[in-house]
Amino acid sequence: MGSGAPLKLVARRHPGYWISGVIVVALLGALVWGFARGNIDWGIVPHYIVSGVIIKGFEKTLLIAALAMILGLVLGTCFAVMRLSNNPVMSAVAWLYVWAFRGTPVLVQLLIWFNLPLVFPSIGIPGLFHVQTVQLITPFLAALLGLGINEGAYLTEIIRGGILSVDSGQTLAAKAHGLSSRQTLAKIILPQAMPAILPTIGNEAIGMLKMSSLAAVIGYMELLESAESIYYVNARVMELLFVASFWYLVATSVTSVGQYYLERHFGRSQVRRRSLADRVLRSLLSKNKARTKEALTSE
Amino acid sequence: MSDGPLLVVENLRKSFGDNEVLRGVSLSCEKAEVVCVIGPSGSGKSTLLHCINHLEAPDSGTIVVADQLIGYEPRRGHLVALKDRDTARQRRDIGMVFQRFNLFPHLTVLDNVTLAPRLARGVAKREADEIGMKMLASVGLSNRRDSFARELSGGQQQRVAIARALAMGPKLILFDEPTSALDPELVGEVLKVMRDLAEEGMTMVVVTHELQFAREVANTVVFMDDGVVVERGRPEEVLLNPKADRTRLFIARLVGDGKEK
Repeated sequence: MGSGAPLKLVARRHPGYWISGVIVVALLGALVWGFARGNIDWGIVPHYIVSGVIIKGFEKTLLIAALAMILGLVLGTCFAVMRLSNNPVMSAVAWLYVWAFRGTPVLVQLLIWFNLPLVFPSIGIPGLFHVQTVQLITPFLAALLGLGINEGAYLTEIIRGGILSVDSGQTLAAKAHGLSSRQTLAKIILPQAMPAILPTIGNEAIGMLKMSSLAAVIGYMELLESAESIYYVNARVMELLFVASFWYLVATSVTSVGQYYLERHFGRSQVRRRSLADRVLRSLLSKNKARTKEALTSE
Repeated sequence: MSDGPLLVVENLRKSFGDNEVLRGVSLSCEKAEVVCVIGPSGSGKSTLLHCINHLEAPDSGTIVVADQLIGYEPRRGHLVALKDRDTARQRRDIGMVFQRFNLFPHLTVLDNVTLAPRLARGVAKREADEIGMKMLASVGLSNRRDSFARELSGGQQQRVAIARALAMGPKLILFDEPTSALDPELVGEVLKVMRDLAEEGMTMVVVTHELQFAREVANTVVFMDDGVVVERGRPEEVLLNPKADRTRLFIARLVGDGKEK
């Protein structure tokens, strides 16, 4: 202390980091080694990854997940608004919907939709039209209804939370300026609820991609059902489950990346200052050179 | 329109649960008059403003703005609450400026100002933008048209909020403690805009703690306490020679606070 040259500051060493790191890597290596030497024919995995049946199944997985998610979003928005309505009947019905569909396993719901023909052999409006329910409720439709309506129940709660997170002063201001309730919701509340809702919706979309595999039990030929249909014949069970996992990982990874950009678009522009690039682009688009210069020099 | 007052509030009562916030408030405001409402917090001033444009439904009493009964219509010996749409229509003539500005954070400054004229009055975008720019110019903020609320100071935000209220062409503007949430050095720019408005003949009801503003700009000062109007009159009467003890006490306390700053 005191006189002399100032002492150099050095970071503390952590030998524990190295030891625990080596142990974890060794365990991981053992796992990989085990699977590599195990009774699995890795050679055929790439072949099946690009095989026609699997690709077709993957497409159907993407299709059902996307459609069910859209159905869920529509239902979720409607029921969230109903849940917040002053009309006690509306609010109670929305509560009941969430209670019923969030409270039962989605697998059970899928089976119920698929077996609906047992309850109603034929449906229609008397005198107008009639259909055999068995022909109407295809595995596709049962999967769409089961997954979408179940998802809607979860999204109802998520969207309701987002709406409630918007400052109540916003509603006051909108109403005070003569906007109707509907305009207030569409133009003021929902746009501001988006940043709060989006991260969770991204998670739900990833969940939906995986949950769609449940549709295999009602015979919808999505990714898992396609993989199963192959290993029922050639008994390469693990190989084909890994093939399916590969495509699930691709889909969920791409969705995560999309979610990241969506969040950045909605979230950051709401809270933080616009980035330099964004400001320059905006002013370029508005063809105002003076402002561009200003944006560049003010940084 | 008749020659009567622009705003008439009669015997207004409003409770929240067991708490009776307004206990029979009556008030009137002529065209081009500035009425300043002062009083301790919790005296019901904000609730009074919220009732005037029916953001809160009163329990009893009536409010008439420009010969229109607000929020209700007489029908078979009763006053029946209006439809949501009709209340919204009535509010278009009554501007409001909030303590915490309540600008729409997802919209630019100009869109904040033009949104209501476009949605509620159906004005075309181009025309709305023209009106909006004129209003922004009148509060000295034409150069911030593309900014967002979070990029502005509190004083600027409140001036945008005033422009937003003006863009609807209101007959009356309600100010709910417009400078209470501002840093002291920003209060002046907002009061200046309000002063200009008053000089141009805008009818204003201003809930405020700015006694100096009340003295210089108001035609009438109303002192409220505990849900009733205690005293009303010309500013120099109420502010300089208050008759009621409660008024005197309140003003002394406010002036005392001002000195400490």
